[in-house]
Amino acid sequence: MRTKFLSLCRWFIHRLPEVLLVCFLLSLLPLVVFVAEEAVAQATAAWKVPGEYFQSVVDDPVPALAVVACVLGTAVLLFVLWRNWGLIWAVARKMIVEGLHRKVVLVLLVFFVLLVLSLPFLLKTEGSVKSQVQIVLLYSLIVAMVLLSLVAIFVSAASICSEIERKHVQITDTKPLRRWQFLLGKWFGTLVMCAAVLFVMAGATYALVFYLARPPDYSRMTAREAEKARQEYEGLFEEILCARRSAKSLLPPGVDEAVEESLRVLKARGDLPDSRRERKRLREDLWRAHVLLALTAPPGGVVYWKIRGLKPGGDGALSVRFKGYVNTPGGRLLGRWVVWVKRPMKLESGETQERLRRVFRVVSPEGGWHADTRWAIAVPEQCVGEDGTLYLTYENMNPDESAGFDPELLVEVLQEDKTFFPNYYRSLVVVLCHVALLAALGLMAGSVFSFPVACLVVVFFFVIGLMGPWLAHFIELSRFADYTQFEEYIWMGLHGSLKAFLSVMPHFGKYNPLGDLTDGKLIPWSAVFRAGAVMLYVKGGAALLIGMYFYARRELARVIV
Amino acid sequence: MPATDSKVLEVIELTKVFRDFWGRESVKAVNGLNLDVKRGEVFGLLGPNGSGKTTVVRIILGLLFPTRGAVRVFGRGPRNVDVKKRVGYMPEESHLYSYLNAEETLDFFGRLFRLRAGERRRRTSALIDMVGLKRARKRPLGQYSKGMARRIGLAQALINDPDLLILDEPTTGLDPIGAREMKDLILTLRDRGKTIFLCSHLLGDVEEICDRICILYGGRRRALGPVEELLAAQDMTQIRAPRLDQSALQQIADVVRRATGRDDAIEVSTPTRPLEDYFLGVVEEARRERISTPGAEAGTAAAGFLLGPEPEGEELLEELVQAGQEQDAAPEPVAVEAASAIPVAQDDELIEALVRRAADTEVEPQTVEEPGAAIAPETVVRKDVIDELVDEAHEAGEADEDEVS
Ligand SMILES: Nc1ncnc2c1ncn2[C@@H]1O[C@H](COP(=O)(O)OP(=O)(O)OP(=O)(O)O)[C@@H](O)[C@H]1O
Ligand SMILES: [Mg+2]
Repeated sequence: MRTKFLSLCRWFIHRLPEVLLVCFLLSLLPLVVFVAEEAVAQATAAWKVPGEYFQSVVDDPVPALAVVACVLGTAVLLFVLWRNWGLIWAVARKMIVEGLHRKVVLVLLVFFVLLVLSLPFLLKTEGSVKSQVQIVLLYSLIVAMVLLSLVAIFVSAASICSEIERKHVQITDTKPLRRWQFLLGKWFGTLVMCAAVLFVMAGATYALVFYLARPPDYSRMTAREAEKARQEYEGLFEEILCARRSAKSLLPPGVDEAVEESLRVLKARGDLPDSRRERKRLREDLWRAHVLLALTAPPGGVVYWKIRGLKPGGDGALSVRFKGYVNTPGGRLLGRWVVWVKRPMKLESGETQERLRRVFRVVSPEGGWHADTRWAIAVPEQCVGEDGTLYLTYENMNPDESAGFDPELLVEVLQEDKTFFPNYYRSLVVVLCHVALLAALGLMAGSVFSFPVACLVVVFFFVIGLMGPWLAHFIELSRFADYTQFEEYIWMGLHGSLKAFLSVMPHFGKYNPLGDLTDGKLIPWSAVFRAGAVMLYVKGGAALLIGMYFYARRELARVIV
Repeated sequence: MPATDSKVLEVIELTKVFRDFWGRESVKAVNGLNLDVKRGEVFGLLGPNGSGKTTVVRIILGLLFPTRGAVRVFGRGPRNVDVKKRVGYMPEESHLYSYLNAEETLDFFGRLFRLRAGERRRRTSALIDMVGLKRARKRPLGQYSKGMARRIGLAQALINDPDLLILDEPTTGLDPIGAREMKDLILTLRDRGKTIFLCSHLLGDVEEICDRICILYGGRRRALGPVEELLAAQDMTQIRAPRLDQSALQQIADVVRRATGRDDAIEVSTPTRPLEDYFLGVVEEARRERISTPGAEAGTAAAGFLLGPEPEGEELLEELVQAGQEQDAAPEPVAVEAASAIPVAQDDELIEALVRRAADTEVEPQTVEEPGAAIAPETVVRKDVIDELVDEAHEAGEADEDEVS
């Protein structure tokens, strides 16, 4: 009996790579189902109103391009994997065995458990289930993502380097295995290993979150407590464990015309600067000023927003998020939000015309909304028009002070849309795309450089990936007003090349879905496709190809000292 | 393609220059080398340390790229996948994955040849049996001794039943039995029409198994040809005769001295001299010509400090040595089988005798499921029986020693 059990264990350990592969494939199964669903939905949308659908694609071709890139990339990847499966799996399998033997997987899981278990001791939440759930979700997913990113990039780089340094390649390379197959096998092995670990971690997190978010035990509560608990419990599913569609307001209309008008006035006065550069800068400044102006409501004035891309026909509540400014520090916004709906109206002449009518309003509470703070108000979903548009105004009722809104943050509307699980799953897919990119970068570094240098390069990638947005921001800022023409050219050259460099580098912040996930925001398929296209296929593919190019041209028996 | 097939390996004007970081030429490891290896021959590449043997092998395998010249294996470039399918390589040192065990290692390499699972299993176990590591097959290779790892290195090279087997110093690190088996294996494979290309320093082995050899010095070819031809000394005559008495010898000597007509009783043949003499001669000649080599040059006599400063020390050493010899002589060998009592030079013979006995006693032949599986059955020797016999011999020897002292 015992020996039977032991031999079963041994068999299982021996077959662990295959088990991980099966887990990986199973974890991709929902992806296939969800993508098929989405494809059907898109196809029906296109079928109903082909013209409009086509127009929307032309207006914003990025999502469509991303989908095309993903489909093409997946097709190529699957084809290559299928044609070379035996060899690629042999290499990948060995990589996984190595990972298991070197205790990479074990150490990862232990770290994860330690970090997540220590969480309750690190945090003193004041008992609110909502914040607890939010923190657990965000924290454990970030831990998982960071750990896996590190493992993906270092394990892949180190595995190539050490195979060359320990001369393992001097045997493997004499077998009928092409060098690109070897690299692809390593990449796939890293991916499978990381995916398996990720889905274990994510499963644990999911279980933990839904354990925390279990229905409260009302029987031991007073009526008031029970009511509070019920509200909190429901709020959890409305605000965090859900997937709300997010739509941002467009920039206010009429800004461009206003800029032109101002320029015309200046020209008429003869105040227009001579140099083209000066004129360009003036135009930029004017544009910024007019945007601010359009987003500022003087006492008694109004700011106007149009928000597109919502789903019509719901009967729940929308959450409108905003953040306002006033001039006095610590001041408040006193005013009201008004929602408008397009309704047909009979004119006196007898014909009907679409007119906007106010249907709903929210007045600021006693003392107003704090400025510089994010607020949310609830608006009935019926207010969304047939075309998915919501019209909003803010009327400033403060007689003394004007109220402004940030042109960067704008106003955001959240609409309940999908359930939590698909959203969770999508964010994991995006995380996996990260991991795949990092593995490709590690392999590239490992196949171009030898060990310590490869590690340095990998650290460099990592740091750039983390600081990319800040760096870009600083580069944007690094501009002084009194540049001479010559300095300006230098600046432009540097600026352009740095920006190009940064855009080629990996970005961890840009496609990071975890913030949105824990905010209960919908992670749309378009974001997943974009992440897949950019990180997995474009950047990851390029990194792998560069790695393959250099690796194939390398003298593997050459000792570099 | 029998035409291209008859030349399994061609090395044409091969030159390999290693450059340093700044692109300066630092080492010319191979210099204008020309070689042909024909199908079904055992070809030996000899040369002093650092003469470029391993470099040639690595270029043949596509691990290094030639600076000038070319290498053709089966008429194609060395990095062609179809070529690699027919090549087996056992490196100088075994560069194997230390965390895999013997079975996993062979299974991995079998997968790289796209062998089916059943075939992989069959070949793996046959090869592990062949190299005598059946008991250690579940242990990770990191724990293997050097010779054990070399044996897996050999097994790994044979997993695809290669047509061209490239062995870099095949017998180093192997015990005498292993070395004997290796040589038998090479000959068996040759008889099956396989080609073997090997580098070695062990001239006895080379002389025994190689059909043709090439001697490198400083990356240049110094000699190339069939072993017998190279070793044939044309300026001498060897006379072999049945046992003769002194007068007969004298008469023959007279006859030879006078160098006149021949006697039919005297068999005249071309004598051979040992490869070692020949090799040293070639290397010596190269050194006399002051040919530069990036590798090892002639060493000087033992370094001064090793010889000791004072004659007193020498005397002391001599005394010690003598005392040791006397002590050694004291326990006279009693049992002939005692391994310790057998002079070193006869080791091979003892082992061969043991092997023969093992083969005789164990009637049951080793069954190999597949005739195609790399190894012909007759070379398979029962390892465990040998081990037992050797152990017995050891025990007998020890016991006797105990009795004497
Ligand atoms: N990667 C390298 N970089 C620079 N020089 C090298 C490199 N590899 C080999 N060499 C040099 O090339 C020469 C030939 O080396 P090689 O290993 O081919 O010798 P070998 O004949 O196999 O010697 P041994 O009998 O010791 O195995 C040596 O001088 C060695 O130092
Ligand atoms: Mg060598």
